[in-house]
Amino acid sequence: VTTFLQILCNSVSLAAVYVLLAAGLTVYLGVFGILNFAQGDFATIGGYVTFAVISGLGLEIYAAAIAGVLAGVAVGAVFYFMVLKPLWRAPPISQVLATYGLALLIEGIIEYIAGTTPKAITVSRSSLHFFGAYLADTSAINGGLALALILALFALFYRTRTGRKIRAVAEDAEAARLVGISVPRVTFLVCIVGGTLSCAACVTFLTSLYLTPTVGFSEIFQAFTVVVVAGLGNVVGVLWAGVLVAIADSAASYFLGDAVGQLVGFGIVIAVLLIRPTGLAGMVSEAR
Amino acid sequence: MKHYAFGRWVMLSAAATVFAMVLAACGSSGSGSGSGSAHSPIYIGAYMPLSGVTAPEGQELLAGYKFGVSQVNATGGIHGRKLVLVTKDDAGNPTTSASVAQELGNDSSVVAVLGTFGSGTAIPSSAVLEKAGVPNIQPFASAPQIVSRGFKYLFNAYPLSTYIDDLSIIKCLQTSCISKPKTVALVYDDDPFSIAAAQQFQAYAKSNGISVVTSQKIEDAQPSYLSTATVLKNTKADLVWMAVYDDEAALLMPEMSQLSYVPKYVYTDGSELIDPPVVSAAGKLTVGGLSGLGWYPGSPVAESAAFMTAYKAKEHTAPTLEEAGGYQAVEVLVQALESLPASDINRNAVRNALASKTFSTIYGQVKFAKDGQGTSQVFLIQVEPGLKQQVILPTSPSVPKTITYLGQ
Repeated sequence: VTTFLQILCNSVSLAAVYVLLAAGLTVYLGVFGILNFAQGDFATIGGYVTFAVISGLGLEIYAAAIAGVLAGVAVGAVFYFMVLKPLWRAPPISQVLATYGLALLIEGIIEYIAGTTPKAITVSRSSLHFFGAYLADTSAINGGLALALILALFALFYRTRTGRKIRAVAEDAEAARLVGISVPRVTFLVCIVGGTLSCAACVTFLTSLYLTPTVGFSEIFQAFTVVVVAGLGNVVGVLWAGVLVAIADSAASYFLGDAVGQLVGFGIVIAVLLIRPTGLAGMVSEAR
Repeated sequence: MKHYAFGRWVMLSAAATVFAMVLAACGSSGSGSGSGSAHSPIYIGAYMPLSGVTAPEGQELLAGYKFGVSQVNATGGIHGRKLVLVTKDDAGNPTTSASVAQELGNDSSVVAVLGTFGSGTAIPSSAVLEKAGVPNIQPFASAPQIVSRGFKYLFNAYPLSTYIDDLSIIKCLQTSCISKPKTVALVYDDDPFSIAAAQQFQAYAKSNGISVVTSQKIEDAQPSYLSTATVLKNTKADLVWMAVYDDEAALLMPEMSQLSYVPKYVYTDGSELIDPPVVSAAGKLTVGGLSGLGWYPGSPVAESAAFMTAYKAKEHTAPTLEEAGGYQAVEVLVQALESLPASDINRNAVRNALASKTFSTIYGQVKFAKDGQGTSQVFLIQVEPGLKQQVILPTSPSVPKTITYLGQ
């Protein structure tokens, strides 16, 4: 029982990383139909901005992370002007290449400015202890943060007029324009929201990972796995799917070794595609 | 009009991609042409991971090379000829490393090559350099396979991982410098250097009544090693033996600490416990931790002490193991070049000098055996309270050792 509990606790910090990255990914996929390979790199930018604020002003991680999250506004704006505006209706291959190019560009710039030496901050290593299992304080906070942001995103999409406009644009941008919705304004807002969500993942990077220029990109596949399991555009689904993938990852790593744990994401994607393709329903409808 | 804008942005995106690729490969630079005349520069090839997962180690290795070369050039170079580094980024990728080694081999102005970080890339790239007839000094290839191929142009400067273990943790257990653990948990990276060392230690443990309770192979660039830490905790092993990279240790050790798992001993085959980020992150596992190394900052070798002083004076910080290893490779090459007449500096002459001379370096006296492996000292160090390092092995009768247990 203790081991099972520990595996669940181990999953919390992973789940926070996966959920926050997947949330940004699913927003862009669901509304624009664009698979953004640079989503993980957005989080990396947030991480470096947060790190700079901690180093420069000596702020505590969660206070400094506000700057990292705000960096998401600029990141979202860059995505809007560099990828979405010119390529929204372009063939998927152009979109994929553009986002991949953006990812490489971000990594190159970070490497040029900050170098490749890993950046880390000193964080509390204290843990919550229950029934023989340990959960790091930072993991618990990150998990709570991810939960709160997903609920806020759900509220934005399904409980506000802006959310209705976003969903209208996602359904049919031309029809939305005909009924008076400012499509550029809505799409710009969605870009900002997606960028901000991804940059929020910077907290999870800084408390449980070392920052390197490629750290975000290396997590993007697991985030994509979460999106596939949740179903495209399913905001709340990202939450349970992120937790599920994180638990599967942790359990496989524990019982079968680290190398097998790495393959879990691939296995899950293949299984979902074969057994329950409805997880991809949004993608199918987007490609119609 | 829309068509025009679309094309322009596609082009801009493509340009951004190309620009990013150029930035990512910014460590590469051309050699220029070396004539080999009496006053022309001497071109030295150098390749290492400047991008990818092991880029931090590669950057430090390059810094060590640059420091060594700058010292030589500051005193007039070799027979009045300046040294020029021709650097290439191998991205820590075996295929890329072979490709950049081929580029350096094809560059006739390059008289010798300073190698890369890690056995996984050094093994294929040194085969390419062997075929091209380029003497190459590998500073951080510690897998036994590197010197098992009968190469004539390969000179392996860092001790093999199995040799380090032999003269550190295994010798320590044989001489009872720490109390014999009943159980050991092995953690190793999926890399030739660590697999070989793990196999050797597993065999030693089994034949000496130490139970191997788990053997965990970990992958690099993982977001967390909590699962591995949980396995280790559940085994309650007395000794956790590790052969992993610094970035892996920097996650795994704090995570073991986070789970309140403090074994009696942690041993690392590598530089983890002299690496400041790991030391600052490892928490309860730092003081008392044991490391087997070919060099450490407090090394009693006279050349090492002089290097530490010069390095700190210039860089205002202590060198890492990678920086020291880069410097040591330059030391070896420079002494080989200095032994040659100014008019006879070519690949074969450099190779013969490397094969025949004994070199005074920060690792001590180094002589390369026929298989290309250099002799070197090995140290077993332990982190003491105050984060100082004490040498456990080799023993010195004048300095009594007090072993610290983890968590004390």
